[in-house]
Amino acid sequence: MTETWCMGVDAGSTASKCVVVDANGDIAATGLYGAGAGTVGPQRAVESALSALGIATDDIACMCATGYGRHVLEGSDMQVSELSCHAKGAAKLFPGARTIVDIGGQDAKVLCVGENGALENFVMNDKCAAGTGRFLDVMASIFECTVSDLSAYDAQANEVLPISSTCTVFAESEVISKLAQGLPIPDIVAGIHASVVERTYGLMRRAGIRPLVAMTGGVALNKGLRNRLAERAGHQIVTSPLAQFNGAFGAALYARENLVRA
Amino acid sequence: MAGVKELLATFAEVAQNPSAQADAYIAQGRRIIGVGPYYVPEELVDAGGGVPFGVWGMVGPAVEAKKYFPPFYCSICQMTLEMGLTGKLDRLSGMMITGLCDNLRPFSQNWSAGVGSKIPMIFVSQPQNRFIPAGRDYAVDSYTEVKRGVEECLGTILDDEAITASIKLYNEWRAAMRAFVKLAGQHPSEVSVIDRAQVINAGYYLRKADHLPLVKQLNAALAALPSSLEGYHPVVLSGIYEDIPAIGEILQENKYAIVADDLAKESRAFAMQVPEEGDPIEALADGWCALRNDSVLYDPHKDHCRSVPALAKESGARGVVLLLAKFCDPEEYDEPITKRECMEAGVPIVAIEIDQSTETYGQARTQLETFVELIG
Repeated sequence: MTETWCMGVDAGSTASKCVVVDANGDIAATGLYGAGAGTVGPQRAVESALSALGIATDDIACMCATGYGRHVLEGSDMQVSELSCHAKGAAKLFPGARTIVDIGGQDAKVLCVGENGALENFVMNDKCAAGTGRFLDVMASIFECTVSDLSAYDAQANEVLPISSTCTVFAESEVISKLAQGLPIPDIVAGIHASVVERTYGLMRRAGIRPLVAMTGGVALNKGLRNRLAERAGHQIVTSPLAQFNGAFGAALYARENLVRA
Repeated sequence: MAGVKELLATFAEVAQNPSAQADAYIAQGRRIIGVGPYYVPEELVDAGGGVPFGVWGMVGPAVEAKKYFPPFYCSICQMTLEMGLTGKLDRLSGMMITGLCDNLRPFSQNWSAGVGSKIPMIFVSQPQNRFIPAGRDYAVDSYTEVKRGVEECLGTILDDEAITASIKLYNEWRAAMRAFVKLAGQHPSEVSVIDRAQVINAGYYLRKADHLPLVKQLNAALAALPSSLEGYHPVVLSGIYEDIPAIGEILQENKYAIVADDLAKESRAFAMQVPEEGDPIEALADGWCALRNDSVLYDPHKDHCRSVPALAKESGARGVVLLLAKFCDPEEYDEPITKRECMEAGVPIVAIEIDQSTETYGQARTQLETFVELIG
């Protein structure tokens, strides 16, 4: 019997993610490419997922696009906002989660979901890049390391040096100034994480924090930052190695629902 | 009688060409007086045969105005001064500016310094304490001064009879606009979000005596049609203003229906009712003192914040879209309380930050699309 595959594509601002689900809505394959909307990124992510399953585009029964570039993604059958997709994905990825924190490349969002996983409320950051993945990208470039290296630095910190949480540009100047003073990089990185945490915690307070708290998006994989956020919020924060695919997963589940309804 | 489409085309033409409208009135021998936010007693201008002309900034970048304002400043003030400094308002014979918030007061001084020698300012000083006799006395004295300023700019003397006639006209117009807002909300298929804004904006560029008959015709035409609300997402808009084209397009594309609004430029302004008896200056002051439910007005018990979910329930809205004017202190102070009141009342609310200098609204699109999915 031929499997009915559905696909979700999250054309984000800095990365593209693709998830293919099977008839049960379980993840069958994923694809990730480090370039976002308006680039070859979404196509590469799709190709990566299709290749992993050994299937072709024609084998996809329904494709749902989400993320910043959802309206310009060729081949999609439907579009759903990333907020709804993150709520949908998290309901399956983190059963029982009521608060979803997603820090993406250019935005940060906190979703409140009901017991049935339905989105009840949400807040997003303002237009400033402070507190987003882009902020961490800028900071990592100062240290000539990758964003994933920041977590390791944080683990070595003895203290948290204060860094502005207001503006990426100001924060960058502060970091350079602290480096010039010869202050230890791990302590500066801990300050950078604390800065993101302050912004994110502010959003969480505005949305309302209800346990269980789950974290999605690529930044969720930064253990140092995640732990600091958990400490600040006073709640355990769960995540998953698939956290970065949560939006695409939700989109794939929407595609699956659309297929069932049709 | 003209149909809905023909009438909407007329409103659109006016709303999209305010300069042409000003020229037409000047050709008639009328003087134009600019009217900024909020609650300006423009009946005085009308009574003197002048044309009160709404000036609430414009969408675009502020360049010259940057010499007068820091970047973190109300874009209505910035863009209105920009218009004045770049000659876009040169046909005005005066400019009425109030001092109702911490942005408007310095703006009035910047106007005087930068544009005042060319376009004189009529400062409308209204008391925030509206519920005490001293507040009313202040309003009467202030409006007497405003009357004098209008007389100077128009080169005429205002008589009480003419002011009373204008008060009656404005009351009738505001009632017609209240009716229009309700009818437009029930007919989103015939009156889109952008159409609705254009009908309202045309009222800022036309004399009320010219706008009112058109609005009445439109109301009559809409009232004869069945509601087309099904398939749309009924919401209340709250905030200062909504006429940012990109925001209008997003609301329209996502099939929002504005069944009621709490916007300073729209229904908050249309809510005013001025007594039609007695001394007309005192009547205008009484109209001012009777105002309620507005973030820019002294509101010690924050009744405004409670009025928003109440309006949503009364109008059958499924949610509230709060269009938060960037750097607007009064709105930002009210925002968390309004949100809390809405949440406690079970009315979903989303806040979208807007200003006249922002060109892209990607995040707003995401939030508004999600909100539609949320309210269903």
